[in-house]
Amino acid sequence: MKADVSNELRFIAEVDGFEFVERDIGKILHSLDAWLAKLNADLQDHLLAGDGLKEQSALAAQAAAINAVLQNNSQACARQWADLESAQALADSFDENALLLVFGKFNAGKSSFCNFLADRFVAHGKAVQYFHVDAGRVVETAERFSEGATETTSRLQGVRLGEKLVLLDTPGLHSVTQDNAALTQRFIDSADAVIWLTSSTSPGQVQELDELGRELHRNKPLLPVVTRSDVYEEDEVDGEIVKLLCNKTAQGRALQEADVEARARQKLVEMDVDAALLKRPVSISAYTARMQGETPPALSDAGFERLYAALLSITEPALVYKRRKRAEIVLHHLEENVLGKLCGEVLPLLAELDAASQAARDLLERQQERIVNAVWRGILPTLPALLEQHAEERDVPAIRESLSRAIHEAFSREANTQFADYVIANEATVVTLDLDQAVGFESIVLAYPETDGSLREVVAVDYQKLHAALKQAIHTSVLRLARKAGKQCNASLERLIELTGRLKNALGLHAQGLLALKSELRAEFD
Amino acid sequence: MSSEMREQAARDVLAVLPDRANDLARLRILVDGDEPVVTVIGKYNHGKSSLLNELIGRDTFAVSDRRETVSLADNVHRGVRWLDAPGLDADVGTADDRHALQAVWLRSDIRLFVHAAKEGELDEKETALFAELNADGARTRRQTFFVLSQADQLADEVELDKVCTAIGKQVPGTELNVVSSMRNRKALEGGKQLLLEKSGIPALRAALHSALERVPQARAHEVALVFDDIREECRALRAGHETTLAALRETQQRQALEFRQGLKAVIEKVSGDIEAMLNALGTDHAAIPDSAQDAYAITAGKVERGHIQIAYSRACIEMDGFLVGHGVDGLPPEQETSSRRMNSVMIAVMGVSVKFRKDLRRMFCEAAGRERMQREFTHYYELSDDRRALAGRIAQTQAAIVAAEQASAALRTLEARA
Repeated sequence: MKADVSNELRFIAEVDGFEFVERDIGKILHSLDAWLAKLNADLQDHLLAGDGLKEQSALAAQAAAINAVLQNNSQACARQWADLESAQALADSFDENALLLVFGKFNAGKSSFCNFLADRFVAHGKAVQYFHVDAGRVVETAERFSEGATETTSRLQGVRLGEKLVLLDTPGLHSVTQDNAALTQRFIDSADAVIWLTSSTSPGQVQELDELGRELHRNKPLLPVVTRSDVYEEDEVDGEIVKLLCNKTAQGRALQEADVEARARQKLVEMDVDAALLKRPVSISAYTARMQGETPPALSDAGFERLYAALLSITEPALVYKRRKRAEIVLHHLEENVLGKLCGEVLPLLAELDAASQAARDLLERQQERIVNAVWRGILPTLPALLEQHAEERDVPAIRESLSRAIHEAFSREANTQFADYVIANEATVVTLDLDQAVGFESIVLAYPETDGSLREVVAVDYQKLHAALKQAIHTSVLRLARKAGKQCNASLERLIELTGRLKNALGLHAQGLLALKSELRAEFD
Repeated sequence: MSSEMREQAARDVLAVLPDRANDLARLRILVDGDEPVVTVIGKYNHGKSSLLNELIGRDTFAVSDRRETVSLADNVHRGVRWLDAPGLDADVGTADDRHALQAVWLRSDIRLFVHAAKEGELDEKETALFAELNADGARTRRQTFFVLSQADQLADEVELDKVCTAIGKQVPGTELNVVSSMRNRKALEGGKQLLLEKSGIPALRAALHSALERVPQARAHEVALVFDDIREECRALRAGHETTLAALRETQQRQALEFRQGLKAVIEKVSGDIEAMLNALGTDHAAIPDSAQDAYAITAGKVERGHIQIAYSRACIEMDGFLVGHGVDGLPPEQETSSRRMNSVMIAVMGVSVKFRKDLRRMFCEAAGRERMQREFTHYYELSDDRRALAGRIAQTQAAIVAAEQASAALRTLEARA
């Protein structure tokens, strides 16, 4: 190639010279499949179980929600993959092309940019083909993109330049509601690099890049292009306003480019994306180039020679990406649609469940205390009457039985209120009262000495000691019941916390595994 | 008012209504009554600084074809303070946006919302901000002018009409104030009439002039409005606390009444039992000690002591049941003794000594004795955990009411000096 050939000619020639060599990626595809199978099997092994928790409790419901996500996961990702596959067949014809995603706000001049490059290819005798995506199909059309200060694109549209280059213009990057979603997504996934158009009027509004997070994390190079880098010079001549469109000065452009570059770099760092993906920004004006007849000097002055040089520089990494593209698509599917989606749904739920379980555990002691207090305060006032009732017969067993029943009733009632979320496995209706056999009613007996003790008189029955012993026994028994129930609740929570932790670890291990496969893929093909 | 007093008053209000910090800051600015403030707001590079320069007629604010204003710049000119806010979204860290908000929400009386004509329609952020400004204007009477800047950067009138129509649909009923700072500058330098007229600057200046004249009334309205809002919030807050307090006090009194009545009934019952027992005993033998030969004999004294002991212990058991049922169980922590056996309210009130006839008569059969028990058990009832917790909640609510009253008073102080 001659040294004085313009960048435009070199670019157009390079584009038609693209060769895509498919490499054998069967091995890595196999590993990715195996990873997915293992993930699905592991998810089934790590379903949460709310043993000891009532089904209607908040914790059990949270656990069930997580299980539902896990169980749906394998079906959901199979379905998405099928969608991708069908879209793939349709878009296969584009796989032999270099796809450049033209990204920017509605007023960044995306249509003018694409139309202008198409015109340049035509000027060099190359064929161009406009198309858009409609009802899930690619529709070819003779119409150029419509331009204007208030242009809006509502569907994915594109133009094929020559044999091997496609520019894609999409309304929203990740809108998934329309029926074109799968195909649009497939196109975007296939894009090899991103050209970020930003208007010279307010260049470098870096928050726009947030929408590109996914593409940038896929290591696609980013070329910022400051568009509409032109200015109207005006004057009033003979009572009329005369206007002249000029390029912005080289110095003005350099200032804007430096500012855009500095801020975009800062933004990429903030997004945790490799800042090396960022190319040096280029300023252009399709308007002045056109106005000045698209001559070589006009193109050069309007910034297009620099643009072509930049486009040439991003085709090289694009080619590298092409070779491993099929594996990358599977990898991204697993990263984003499978693991990313799963973790995105499950991890916050797991964190919530974990926090709720910890909080429930911290509450147990207080609940236990409330149960003891309530039962204690309910039973004790009945004790005097009970003792009085059985004093004559001195019937300690009857008192024990009556108390045992009353404690059981009161405890069940209070436990049902305080431990409403838990299944308490204590259905025995008998509550043991630990009462020393020696303690009972005491008679105050007087014996008449003149009868040698054979004649005795019972003056009265006393139950002071029995009362004290019963009080102690009731307290011990209620405490024991509450502790036992609390222990069961605690064990249920511990189990749930452990299962939650194991599931989280399992997800972490799978994420690491996928990361390892990713570096393997990139190492092998770079 | 001294600034110290004012700050104290503001602190009193903030202690109760922490979300009102911005309102108080705005009030302070309003009350200080400095010159009216005009703020420009909009995306960076849309020509805000050059617009201000043309409106003032001096090159006061730095102008460049890239992000320039990164902190608040202001300038007082002919009795008006002009504020150049940094552009929206200018910086990744959004520190600029904070400056802009300070300028727009706290300090401004009039806002110039600037949008470059070449950019076409407003984006989502711009429409949202403009709507917010208009809503605020409806409330506070602070006026916002829409300014379509850099009109010279469109190809012709047709393009301009297209842009105006599109934006008109986004902000219906809004005067767009098409301006070109560049034209104004050229017109003044070269004495060009058409450029001057087409610059839109004289027209905008005139509109601003009449808006500035209305600033004093708008400020008075806003001061009254903000005070009304805060006063009402204070009142509502206090009313809420009062309701809570009334309910808590009602509970406190009802519980106390139930306890008093219940306790009285128990004391009356056990006293009746003891009195009947004592009356049945006849002559008092209990105080006569048994002699040595009585050791194995039934004496009247022994029988009597048996009866007294049993009657007394039953009375204690009865009262203990009632107390435990009402949460009076164990002594309050500060009164616990080292021996746990002694940690009982029963022992604290009834003592551990052996009771004789005369003791029982004094304790149970005389009004003073019964009243003493009633009083002392009630004392311990008030010291029980539940009652203390309830009293604590009442104290907290009372403190909140005092704070709300203080805030109201502080607000009146601020208002009186406004």
